[in-house]
Amino acid sequence: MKNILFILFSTIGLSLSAQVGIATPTPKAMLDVNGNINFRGKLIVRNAADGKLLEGGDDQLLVSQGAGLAPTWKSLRIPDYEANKFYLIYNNSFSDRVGTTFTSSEEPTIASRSASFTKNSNISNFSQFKKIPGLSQTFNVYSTESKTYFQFETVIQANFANVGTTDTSIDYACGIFVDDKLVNLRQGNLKAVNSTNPFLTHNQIGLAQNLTKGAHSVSVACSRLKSYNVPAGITLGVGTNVSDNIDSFISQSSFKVDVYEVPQVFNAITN
Amino acid sequence: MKKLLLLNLFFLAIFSNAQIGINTSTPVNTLDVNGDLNVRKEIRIGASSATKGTAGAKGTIFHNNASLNVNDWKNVKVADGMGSMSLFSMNSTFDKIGVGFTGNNGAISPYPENMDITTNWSVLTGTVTTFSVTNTTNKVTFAFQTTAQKTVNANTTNANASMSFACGIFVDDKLKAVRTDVLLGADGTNKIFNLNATLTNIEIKNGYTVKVACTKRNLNGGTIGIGRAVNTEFLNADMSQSALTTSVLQPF
Repeated sequence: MKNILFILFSTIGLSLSAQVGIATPTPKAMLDVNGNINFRGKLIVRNAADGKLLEGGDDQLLVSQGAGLAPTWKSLRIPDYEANKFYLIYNNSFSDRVGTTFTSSEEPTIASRSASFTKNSNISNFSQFKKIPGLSQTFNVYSTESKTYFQFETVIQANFANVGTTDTSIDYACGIFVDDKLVNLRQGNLKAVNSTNPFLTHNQIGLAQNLTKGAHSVSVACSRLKSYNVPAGITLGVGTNVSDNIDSFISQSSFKVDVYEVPQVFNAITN
Repeated sequence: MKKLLLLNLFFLAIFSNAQIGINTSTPVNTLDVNGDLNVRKEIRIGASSATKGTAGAKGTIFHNNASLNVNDWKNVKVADGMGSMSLFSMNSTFDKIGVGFTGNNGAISPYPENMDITTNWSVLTGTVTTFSVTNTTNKVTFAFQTTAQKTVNANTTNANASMSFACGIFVDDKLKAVRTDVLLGADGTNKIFNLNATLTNIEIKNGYTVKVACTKRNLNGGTIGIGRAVNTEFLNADMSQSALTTSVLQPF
């Protein structure tokens, strides 16, 4: 009997159209193995889209495609972590079209900017700074070894008339605050020119290192610091327009938060 | 036939170098199952004539390593915090051709959001790319930078008069972000133009098209180049090139 079968398999191959059971008289699938399976080679699956037989690319995993379809090989979008290296863990971005405006009476009195605008100083020490509403957000840090990168962009505008050679300008500053403590501040100056209602794009990049694990708040607050030869009634807008030569769509702010971490806690990807 | 085989498969091991097909007369691998496969116990991989294969530790995943001739079990872990909001895709494109404007002044009114692109806008052809969104919770961020340069203002008394322009990001040819800027100064004056923007929870779609296009505003009789040198004494094509980075952030 064994001989007969051997001859059958080795000469013409085994071909069956009925369901086959291994160690079961009642197979419930085309091949039903009532026991374990040993693979000595690779598992190859048929791709439903083009009928090709796929061994899978390097580092791919077998993923179910549901009943009636062969499972398929998929790449995992997760890095292989190496020790002591930073990985991008949290990444978010926000926008705001409300912005904030400042009249000439909203300028702080500051003796020394360098002495006042110090890192880690609380926002309560920053008189006449106003937050941009939509950029007050929270983010999470999951490792004690981390770097947080902030990128802020907005448009600053003043409703200056056209001015010749006189220096008519306004100093302003924007600060990035984490848990209401300053991490980064940049100043700028908007100058009146020979066209009305000038504006500029303000770019700012800030960094915070090794924040504590857990949730943190972040916000961007700006201030009108000082005016030079500015007539009464001039308004400064940050992240908003103060004249209709631009609008709030053009002047909107964008704020990106990236957290790079050396991972310390790992979780299983399945449950 | 079924009974006969069952009997044999049940009592005897099969030694064969031929390929076996289940429900196919033309098997293409050692065992070719043209249908579903029921496994009632563990799957073992990496077996040989001397050893059983390994069933893998609990939680490990059936994995292909191209440098091995058998599959293996992979332990996949993810760093704490991954998946909340993560980088799903990222692409950078650049353009060294740029666009130039001359002639009459363009319109200087603001540009409405979702406005269709018109012939007044010139596309920085190298920036055109596509991206996809697969989750209803998403952020799409754009970071664009280029250099704008002006020539002399011909038809005004002030040869150093201002020239203004706007560049916008168009997704599927609809305006999603735009900034305007002004160049002031003598022939060859140039400046960096930045546009960073964030879109929130846009519709799921495979294959959005994104491009940067620019338009003229006030030219005051001069020529303006965006991403292009119009006075090569001060700029070359590499110095004036444009770059657009598109990132899609999603939880997973």
